[in-house]
Amino acid sequence: MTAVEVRDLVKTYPARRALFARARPPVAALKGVSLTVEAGTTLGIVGESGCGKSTLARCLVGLVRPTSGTIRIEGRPLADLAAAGPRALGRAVQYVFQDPVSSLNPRKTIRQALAAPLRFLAGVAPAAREARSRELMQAVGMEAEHLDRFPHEFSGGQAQRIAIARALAAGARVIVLDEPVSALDLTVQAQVLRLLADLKARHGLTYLFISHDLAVVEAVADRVAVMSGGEIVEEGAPAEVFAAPTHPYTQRLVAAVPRMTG
Amino acid sequence: MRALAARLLENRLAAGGLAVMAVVGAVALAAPLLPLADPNATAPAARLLPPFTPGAWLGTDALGRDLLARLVWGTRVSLAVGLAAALLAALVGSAIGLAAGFLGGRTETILMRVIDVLMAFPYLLLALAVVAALGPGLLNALYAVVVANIPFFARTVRGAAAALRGRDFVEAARLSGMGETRILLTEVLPNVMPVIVITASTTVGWMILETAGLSFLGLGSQPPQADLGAMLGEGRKVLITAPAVAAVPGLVVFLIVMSLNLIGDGLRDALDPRLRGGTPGRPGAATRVAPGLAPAAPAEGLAVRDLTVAFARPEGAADAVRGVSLAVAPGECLGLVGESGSGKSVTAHAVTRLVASPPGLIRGGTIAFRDDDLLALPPEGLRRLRGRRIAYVFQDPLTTLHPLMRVGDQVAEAIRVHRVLPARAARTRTRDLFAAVMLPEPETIGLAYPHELSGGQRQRVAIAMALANDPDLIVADEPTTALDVTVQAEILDLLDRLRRERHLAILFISHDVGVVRRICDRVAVMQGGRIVEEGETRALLAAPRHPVTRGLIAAMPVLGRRRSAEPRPVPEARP
Repeated sequence: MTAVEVRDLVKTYPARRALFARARPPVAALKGVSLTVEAGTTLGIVGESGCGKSTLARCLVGLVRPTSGTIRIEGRPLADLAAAGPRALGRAVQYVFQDPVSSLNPRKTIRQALAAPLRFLAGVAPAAREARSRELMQAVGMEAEHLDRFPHEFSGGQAQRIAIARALAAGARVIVLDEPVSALDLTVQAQVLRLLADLKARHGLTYLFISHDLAVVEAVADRVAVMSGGEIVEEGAPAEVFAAPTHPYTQRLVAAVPRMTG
Repeated sequence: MRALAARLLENRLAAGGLAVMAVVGAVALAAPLLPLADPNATAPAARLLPPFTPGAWLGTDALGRDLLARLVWGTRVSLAVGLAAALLAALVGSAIGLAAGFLGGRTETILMRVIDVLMAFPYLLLALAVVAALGPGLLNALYAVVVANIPFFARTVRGAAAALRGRDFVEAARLSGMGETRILLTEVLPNVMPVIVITASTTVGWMILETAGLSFLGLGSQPPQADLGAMLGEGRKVLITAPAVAAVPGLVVFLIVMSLNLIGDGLRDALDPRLRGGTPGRPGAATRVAPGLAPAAPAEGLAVRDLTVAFARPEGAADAVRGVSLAVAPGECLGLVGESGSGKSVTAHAVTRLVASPPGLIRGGTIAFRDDDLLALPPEGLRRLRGRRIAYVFQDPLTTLHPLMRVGDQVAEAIRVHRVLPARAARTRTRDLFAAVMLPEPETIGLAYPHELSGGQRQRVAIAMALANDPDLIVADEPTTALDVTVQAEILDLLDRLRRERHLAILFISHDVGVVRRICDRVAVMQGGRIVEEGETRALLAAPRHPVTRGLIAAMPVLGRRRSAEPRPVPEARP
């Protein structure tokens, strides 16, 4: 079954006319992107900053409205989901931000942060929320005592675990991860990646995993798409794409990765 | 809340203001219970009695009314009106500001232009217009003050709310299924609240002054009702014969406004998270050094021996670096790797005593750079050294470059700080440096501002700036962490080439052993403030002995090796 289907997605930021400031020509962030992700698999999307991968991610969760093209999540058009209100969309697809600390409200406890999706998306009754919050914390390897703490009391890795718990809380089966480990130390990265793999296996999740780090994508992805200049320039199984890149941009990307031998 | 009160009371001026306001407030509140004369009872026979007359301790005014009674009742009125005005202005102004800042777009444009129109009128003129339209009276004066102060709140709160509008956690709330109104009230408002409280507390004194001003002009409270402004107005007429009649209410206005402003300033400092925990005050130009350390012996390049750096915390000093020894010879590149919190950056900053102090303190060890004992140098000597013989390249050039200065000017400035050079020669040198770091169009790129360059170009500018005075040592603190892989590779190649061409020594800080392997001759691995392993880079990484090193290597992303299974958690060795 196809979990995510994107057809000819175009996003153009319009030209900005200004009275005094310098005018800006229109910017094409996405120039006709098409991709499909089978349910229960991970699609890795790699590319440099500015290649449009974050715009694509934000289109997928409805934070950015595409100029043209269609997105289907589990067979249902995203436009319909979005029209039905933020709740229908949030139940179908969730998003994990790059910087976990800034994606949590500094003035809310973790309990309050988890309560929002449980209440508005999953429709969990107030009495059952506490038990569900504890379950979620356990699922991401955190303690139930952490529920009463504030975001600034956590390290980056812990905060990202909490952000993942919040994405799980909605019960969505498709999760868009926008550079989820780029802000973390390498050892912490490995732990978070392992957690993501566990959760995927346990809950049958579908991931769109966006990263500029080829090795990370190779480790987690079943298929990989390479983006450059708002287009997908190469797509395939990670071992093939990285072992024998055909597009010059992919070749440059692969050559730049630090190696332990040679 | 208790912590906030404690921080507020630590501020001696704010505590003093609070004490004065407590007394004034208590007296004003208790006015009906105090044994005071009728403030409005006239007694023409006893007019203009001097202060300290038995029965009228502050004397009487031109109509023979008891000044003490009028003062207490007048203070009550002035305080009530001032506080009410502040609350109303805060409520209305913040609501407008929140709506404009959060919604943005056309709503913001319309609301803020209305506010701009209000602001275009001088405050007094605006207040006069309101009173003229509504007629004189205390309540109308209050409305006038509120209207005159709404723009102030609206603009301040709009700025704070607009800054939050695009933040990740607001979008996360949207993705959690929350409606816009709920996001505004439960996500944005709590984060803007400190701004509102601070603005209100710093303006309430000003508003009391403004209401007093309107009453003084006869537009506020109407006779016979007393308020501080009206009393001043009445006293003005007899200023020569009985100065006490005007001086007493004037003094009380001064006391109230002064202490409210002191409280407001104290509250602002107490609420400001940046001032929390630490002693407020500017860090010195150089990290403090504990007295009585042994002098350093001259070295060939950089030599650090048994360096111990501590940070003062409320719960006692904590060592971040504990006995680190390292040496960097001329032309050599030493890598310092470790997880965040291992003390590698503190070590790097301590080399030229850049660790902020307070709270930093170098507790022990020696640092020698050639013939200089860096722990014994006065700040002036350090300043000559920094940027000239020891230069730094930091992680994020966007935060280290001045956002409002053209990059060429910044590099030229770095050159001219250290030697006398005509502007034209500095420009030529800057152009040569830009060519050396392979920036495109070195002739013209100096005219760009930092935000107009890409991350890689900015880091090249930072490297050019570090090279400006032909340093002997460059300390590079995670210089490529913020960059994309392809750009990272280019920057590493550039540093490597420059080092070989110019016989530079490099102290290279990173958490990525792959990056270190690419550029460093030797590597030292840090954990918990100590160097746990050190050696020639390739040999050490090929056969790591310490578990930390193994953990760092296992965590390294390597193409062709799926690493999701193998890395074991590194054992924590924290105090």
